[in-house]
Amino acid sequence: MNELQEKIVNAVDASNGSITWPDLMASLDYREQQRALNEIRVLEGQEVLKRVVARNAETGETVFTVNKL
Amino acid sequence: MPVPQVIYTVIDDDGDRATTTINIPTGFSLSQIGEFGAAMATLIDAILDGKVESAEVSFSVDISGLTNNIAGGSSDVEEIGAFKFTTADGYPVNINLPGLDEGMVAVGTDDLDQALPAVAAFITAIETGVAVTAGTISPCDVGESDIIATNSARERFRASGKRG
Repeated sequence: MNELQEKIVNAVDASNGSITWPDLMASLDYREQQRALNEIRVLEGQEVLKRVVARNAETGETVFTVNKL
Repeated sequence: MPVPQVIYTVIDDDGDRATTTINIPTGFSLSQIGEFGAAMATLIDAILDGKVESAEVSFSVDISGLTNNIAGGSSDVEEIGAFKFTTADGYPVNINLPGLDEGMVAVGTDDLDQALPAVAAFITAIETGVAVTAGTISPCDVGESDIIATNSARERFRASGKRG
């Protein structure tokens, strides 16, 4: 796991295993933000994290989070 | 709730095409609608000299819950977000979104900024799906191969009309 991957996992852990995308981006600098999606794909392949886009049927709100597996 | 529609395309000897639409009530399953559509195609075919070329089912979706759904002063459907994806079987899938918000473009490039929440969420929804009640719907290609990766996301300009 590289430094950015660790940083992302730590941010997810610090948010009790589920962090919204804006909150995750706020924890990274600009260059890290640009690499984050690819690093998360790698972590998904390792079954460490999973991106989830979900629609709340009651409120109609769509939420994008990165979750710990 | 808008009703489903079965849309038939008829082609003539000149190669010209025209469509006709039959509305049907809600509450039926996809397989039931498929049965209806096939039966109705037979009935229509018996009346026509032209050839019934295809039948499609269209469902209207209630999007009244959108909160930011206004045409911006600088909006232009000729300005598109051009996404190139790849399926699990290695086939390309292009999705072009007309009326792109220029704020989605990374400064000094033609690339969409994939770190932005709106862009990242759309890409994720295409790659991994959208969780809905009792399931997850993940987009696929015409052969039902799951879209799993993004090759590129760029700003493009195209003549207005049908989007791929």
